[in-house]
Amino acid sequence: MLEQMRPDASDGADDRELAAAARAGDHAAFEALVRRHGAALYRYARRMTGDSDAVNDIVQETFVAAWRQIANFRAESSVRTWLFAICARKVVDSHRVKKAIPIDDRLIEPASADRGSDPFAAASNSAFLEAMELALSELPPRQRAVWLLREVEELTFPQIATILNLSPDGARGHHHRARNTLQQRLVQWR
Amino acid sequence: MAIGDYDAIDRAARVLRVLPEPGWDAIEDDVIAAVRSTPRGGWPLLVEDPLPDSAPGVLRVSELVLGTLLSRALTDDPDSRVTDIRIGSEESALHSISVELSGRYLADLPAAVERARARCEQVVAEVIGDVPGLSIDVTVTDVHR
Repeated sequence: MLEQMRPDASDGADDRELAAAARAGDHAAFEALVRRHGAALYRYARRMTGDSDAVNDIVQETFVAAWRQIANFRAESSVRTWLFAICARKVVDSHRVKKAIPIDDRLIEPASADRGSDPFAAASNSAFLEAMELALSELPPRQRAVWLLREVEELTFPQIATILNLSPDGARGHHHRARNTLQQRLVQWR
Repeated sequence: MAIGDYDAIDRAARVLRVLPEPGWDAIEDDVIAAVRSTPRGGWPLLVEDPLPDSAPGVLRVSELVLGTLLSRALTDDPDSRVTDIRIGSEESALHSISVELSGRYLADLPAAVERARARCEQVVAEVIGDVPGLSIDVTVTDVHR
């Protein structure tokens, strides 16, 4: 019978199944979780820190810690929320959090002076996205973290609150302030 | 940009979401290698010696190995998904296996439970051998479509 088992049936499995299998000891199931969530954790860590070596370490340490701790994961939160919570702690512990750096307004001036133009079409995304990244780097770390988790990772405020150890209302407040700041910083692009 | 008009920012967020992360691609294999080289403690379980008295000593297998094989044996059932597996032992002797399943809505769940139990028995027989008094508890605790 053992020879007939599928060695890795992780492709169609949901996170909860993979976590259960990994908890039982299955490396392949955990590796499927790594492959599924690695890019998102990397994306978050990269925008929260200013050092690419630190990002690599943070993401690797996140998954190593998750593997060690998965026996205690009992699905009170989703796997994704749990992984982000570990990653967010690693970001803070790294002491490499990218501080908010005020930038020269000229750096986020639009490529086109035409206020009616579509920034994505006019600048083929890249210039606008560069300005967006700069504006994001201006945000205080907690606001940046909340905005990224909400808008880029599409997590709910209660999930974000769990990840960042905030109240859901606190997360909403940080998100509101981040959004207003981004709106002001990118007003020229409209 | 008018007050409350976040269209450009919303669109930027969507773009940021789907941008490739070449940095991740570059380290993915290293991260997996690091996880593979990280040991996790599991209780040893005594294995019935297939050739008793042929050599001195005892055979043991980690509960993580048994857990892995149980989870893989239970993976491909069309009517259930495993949500938890727990292995109980005392002084290295396996005494219980507890499996929690999510059952497919409207499926024949008693049959799925019996299949899961039979697969557990088969895996234990092949990995550990005969385990008198072994308790295998299979419970459906959730339902999915």
